[in-house]
Amino acid sequence: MGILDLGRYKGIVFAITGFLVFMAIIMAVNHGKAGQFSDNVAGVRFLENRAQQPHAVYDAGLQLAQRLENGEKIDDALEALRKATNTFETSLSGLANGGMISDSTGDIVVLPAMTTKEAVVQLREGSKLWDSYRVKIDPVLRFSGSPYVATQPAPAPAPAATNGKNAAAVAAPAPAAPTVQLSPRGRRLQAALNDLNQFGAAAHGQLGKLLLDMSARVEADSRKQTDTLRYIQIGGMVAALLLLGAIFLFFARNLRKEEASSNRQRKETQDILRTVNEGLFLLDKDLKLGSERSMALNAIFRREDFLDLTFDKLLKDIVPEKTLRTAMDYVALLWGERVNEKLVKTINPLNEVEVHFDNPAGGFDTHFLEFDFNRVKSEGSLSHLLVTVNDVTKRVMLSRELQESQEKAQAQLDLLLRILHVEPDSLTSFLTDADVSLKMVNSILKEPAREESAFRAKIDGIYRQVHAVKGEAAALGLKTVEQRAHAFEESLNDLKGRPSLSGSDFLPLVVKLDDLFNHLAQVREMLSRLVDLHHAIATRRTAGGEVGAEKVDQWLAGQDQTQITKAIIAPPDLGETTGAIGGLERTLEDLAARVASSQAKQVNLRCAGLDGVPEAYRRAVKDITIQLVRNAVVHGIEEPSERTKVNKAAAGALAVEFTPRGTDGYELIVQDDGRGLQLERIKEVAVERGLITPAQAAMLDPRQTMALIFRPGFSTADRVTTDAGRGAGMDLVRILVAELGGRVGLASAGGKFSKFKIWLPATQSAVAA
Amino acid sequence: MASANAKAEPLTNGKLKLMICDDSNIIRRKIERELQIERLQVIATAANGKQAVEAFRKEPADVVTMDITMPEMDGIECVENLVKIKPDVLILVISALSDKATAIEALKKGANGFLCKPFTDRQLTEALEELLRGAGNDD
Repeated sequence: MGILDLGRYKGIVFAITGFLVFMAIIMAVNHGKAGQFSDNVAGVRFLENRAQQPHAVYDAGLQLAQRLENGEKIDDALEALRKATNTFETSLSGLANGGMISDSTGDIVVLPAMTTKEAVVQLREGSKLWDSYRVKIDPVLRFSGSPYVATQPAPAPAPAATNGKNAAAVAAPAPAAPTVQLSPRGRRLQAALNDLNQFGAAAHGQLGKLLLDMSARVEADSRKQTDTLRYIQIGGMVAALLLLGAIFLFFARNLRKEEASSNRQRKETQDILRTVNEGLFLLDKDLKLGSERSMALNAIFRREDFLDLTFDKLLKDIVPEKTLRTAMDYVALLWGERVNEKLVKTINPLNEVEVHFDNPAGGFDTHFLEFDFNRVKSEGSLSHLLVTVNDVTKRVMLSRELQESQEKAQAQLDLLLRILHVEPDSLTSFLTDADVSLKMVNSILKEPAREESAFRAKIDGIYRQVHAVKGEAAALGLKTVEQRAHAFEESLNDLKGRPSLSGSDFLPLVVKLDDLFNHLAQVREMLSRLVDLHHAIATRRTAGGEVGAEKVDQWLAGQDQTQITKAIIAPPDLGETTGAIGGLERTLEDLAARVASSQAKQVNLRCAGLDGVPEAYRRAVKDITIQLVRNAVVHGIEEPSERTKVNKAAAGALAVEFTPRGTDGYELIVQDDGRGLQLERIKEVAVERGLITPAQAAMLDPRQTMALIFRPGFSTADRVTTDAGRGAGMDLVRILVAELGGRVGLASAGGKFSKFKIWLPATQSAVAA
Repeated sequence: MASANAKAEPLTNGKLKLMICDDSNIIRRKIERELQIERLQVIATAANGKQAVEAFRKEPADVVTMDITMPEMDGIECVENLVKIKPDVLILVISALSDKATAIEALKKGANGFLCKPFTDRQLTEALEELLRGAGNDD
């Protein structure tokens, strides 16, 4: 603020200055008038004084005449006349022109010029009269020397008193000596004196009166001026009071106006802060919250008390410590000069921060808050940070829901695309099998159980079914189904890991099962829509006589149930049994290729005799081969680089053969040329899993060691993936074979091969089983 | 591959000197290609913090775009070194936003702004313009 920049005080400063100037003018006028007043007083005194002077002139004339008559010395009397004459003349010209004269006492008096008309006339008359008087005086004053005859004795000394006024009375006339002899010049002087005195007898009274009149006039003027002065003083005082009042009123009004406006502003600010939805507050350099803040903060932070609160204390209990630290670092950055505020908004750690508030009912509520920081500058330097806080929980939730639904839609699309790639017979077979499995899970869940062992048996039973569904889904590449089955398995694993079980622990499984059922229903629904689509396309094509869309035909040929479609496109002649097994061969090829690519391995799968699997074993053979093929690729076959090192072909060879053995039943062989079973690793894992003790491990022979892989809960893959590693696979194979009354044989040579040989009884016994 | 090709002579055309520092030559080329700011001229590119500091010693740039995760010397250390050599250098950190704390660390060392990968040419231009504007007047 500059020295002349008075801001809001400008008005009052101007008003006071104006008032002072006004007062100064009044006082100056007053002073001027008062000066004149004293001049007038001096003038009156002067005039009163001078009113005697004509008389003095006249007296001097008389005295001079007296002296002459008495023959006395006349020099001093003549001089007195001259002096009186001069004095009066000076006074008279002073009166006519104004100016300074010295009075009889030697004081200097400033005479007011007689400028009024009457005074001028009077003065002119007086001057005229005086001029005439002067004409009479002048011859007398011109006289010099002695008026007497020279023989005359020396004249008597002049009396001491020379006062003109008393001269006639005091100077006792000396007895007229007959010896007084006037010279001719003396006689002429006498004549002139006589003439003068004669004239003076009337004139001196007139002149004296004239002066007294003038004195009265000046006095009257003076009185008038005194009155004027009084009026001016009163007027000035009244004007000053009025001015003061006006100034006071003006400022009182302005003050009131300003106060009203500032009150209004304050109220508006309060209204804004009370109504605004955002949490608003200022942060100072010590990170203390300012006193003005929006009411929304109370709701956002669930607290009323913000007094003397610092920013870190505000956040401390609601965000994780790491977030708090990062946030404080970020705020510190904003206080620094280097960082460009707009270019760091994206790394604001409180941009969408998850906060937890304690819930009085127990637990805590999760919210998402959005903080925005803006630098506030005053007079060029950073004074505060303006913090804006919003509760964006709804927005975050919505966007998450949106994302989920997008993901779901994407998953459905993926599923649809996947379905288009799956062999129709494999898909229908899968759906039928899965349906059977899940119904079985449902019935297992419903089975009554009280004891721990019964609960565990239930879990195992469910596990096998779900695992089978998962395996098949994976083989077909139906990822969404596989994921759900995997999640189901995870829940089962969780249950398995619990020290004790109760019936209620199985409730979440019902939800999972329902989810799987629904999802499979979706797949079915999608399939039927595709059939409808095909139907529509086929109908149109027949009408238009077009040929094409073989792929759709092919895809649908195996499973299309509608009569119309069948009538239009003859499906390939696939028997009920062989159709499904033809699907199995492709399923296994797909599975082997998919798993191999996910493991960065290469594999050649050769299938033989799968067409001949009897209906009764179809399901089991499928489950078993899926499991063994997957295991062979994951565990048996080595990576190409490893294979070439030991002079093997880069691609592993994997064979699945199903051979009927007449009355001896059937033989299923799954063989790979991989690294074989690693007996030491199997032992280690079995010990790790708690299946055997280290001491037992040391005692096992190769055959017993290999048997370990059929134990429930064994897996040699380090990580559980959807491809392998659960450890339930070989257990499942063992159980499936056992349920059918068959046997499993296993042969392996380290670094060379693994061979699973499964014998299944002749069909009747299988059916009986 | 990347080489610090700093030229010794100063720019006479009144442009500001830009150095690009990123271990991905794709990103380096992207920035170079998409640079649409008349006032800037690329004088050096570097594939890691060490190269950047060497190039900067030879001829300090006015503006630097800086990756964080780089071999040899990471962006955070590099920022610290560059600011020591030339305190008024403008540094825009360009990095994937995996960890905000790391980005903040770079800013604490003296970087001026942050641009998140992946970015469009428009975002890059706007960020650099904002960086230059922020340096011009403190508003």
